[in-house]
Amino acid sequence: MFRKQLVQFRPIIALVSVVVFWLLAPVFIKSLLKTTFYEFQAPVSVTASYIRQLQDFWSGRLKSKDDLYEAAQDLARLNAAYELKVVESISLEKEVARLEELLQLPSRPTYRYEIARVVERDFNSWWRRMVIRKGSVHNIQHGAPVVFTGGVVGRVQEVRKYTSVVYLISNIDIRLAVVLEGDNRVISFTGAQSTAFGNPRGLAEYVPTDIKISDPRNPPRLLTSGLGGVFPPGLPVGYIKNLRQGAGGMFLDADVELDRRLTHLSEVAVLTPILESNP
Amino acid sequence: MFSLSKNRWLVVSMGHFIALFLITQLNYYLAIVSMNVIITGMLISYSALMLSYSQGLFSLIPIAFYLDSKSPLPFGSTLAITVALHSLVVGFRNRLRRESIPLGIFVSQSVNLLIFLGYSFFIASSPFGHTVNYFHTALNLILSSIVVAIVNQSFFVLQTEALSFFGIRLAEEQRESR
Repeated sequence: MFRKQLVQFRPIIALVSVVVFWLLAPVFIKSLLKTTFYEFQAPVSVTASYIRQLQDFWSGRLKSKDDLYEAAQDLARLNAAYELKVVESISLEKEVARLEELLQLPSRPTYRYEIARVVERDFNSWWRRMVIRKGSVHNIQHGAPVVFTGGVVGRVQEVRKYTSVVYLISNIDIRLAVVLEGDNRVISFTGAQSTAFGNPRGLAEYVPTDIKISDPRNPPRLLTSGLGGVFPPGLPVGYIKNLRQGAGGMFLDADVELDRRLTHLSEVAVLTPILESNP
Repeated sequence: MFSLSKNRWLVVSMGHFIALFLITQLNYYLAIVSMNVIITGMLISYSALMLSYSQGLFSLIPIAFYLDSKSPLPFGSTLAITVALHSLVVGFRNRLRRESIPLGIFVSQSVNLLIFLGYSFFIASSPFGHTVNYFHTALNLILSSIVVAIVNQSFFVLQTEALSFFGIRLAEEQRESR
């Protein structure tokens, strides 16, 4: 009789057991389980990403010779322009180094760019993150900044063996110090609530009250400030839209429109600071 | 000796994993428009309606851990939601015609709805002051419901076929038990 009653309550007993396990299990057991299950499935996701890459390769192979010739011509023009920029950049770097030495300033950090393919995109109404195909074996560090040609992508949040999880800049967890282009006053930037079928968005807080959007077609641009030491200064973040009175009344808040390409990135670069050894 | 009939959760769990893998690939492309499909409700529905309580639970625990390992929520959140919903469906299933296809779809949709509510609750109650965009969540729920409505029947049939491939005939077992 008692056994029969026990069977009847089995779902409730199992549910209570799971909740108790979840509450009482030590952190290292949870961490071990999380890592084990993540690493167990990681090769499958990575394989899918290689298959997508192969798919891109074969779709590229189907292009006509005329298309390839035109693309090669465009690339040659771009290469010529970039070669000039490289020469200009080298001379500017030398000038910066000379001035740093003259003024006895500490040298600015230099970064190594680790290019990584995007394995998974997980953008929903609760969080926005992506998995990239580089991990601890490639010296990816927790908290490292992630960029692309359009500016900031986000920050590395979890580093696994062969993959890493990147939180997008539009994620609510991301907060960074930014400045307006041509202005050195620091503004706080954070990710904003997501919207479907729209551009990724952010929120700028503590915007000085003298900032105006004089031309809506050419709004002020936000750049990284370099404060905090995570992101190098001068990387594009987004454009300011819809200025309004902030909560305290002394500053303004603004919606920030981020780069549309953030939602369909297939390749990003993780910045790793190069530590200069002391002489 | 190892018997696959007594460990049928392994086959079902593998089927669940393949379904989740395919949906992850779909989500990769849906991310372009910031949309996301969740089909966990369909997986819970199959395990709860077609397997015994313990076999269903065993088939869902690895899947819940897998989802937890990829989610920023506290580890175990998906496990708690999954076990709670599995227990809930098992509690009601004796009053239902389990083999009915519309009923399977209805249960999958209802469980999916509860999962969306569960995740939103966990996010809203997080200590970091997260807010939930309910309109966006509702759009994702509608899209997920459409996907579940389309694939639910095929998923149930494929899982049952996979079990019968290993000599486990669910329909016969259910008839005998009646």
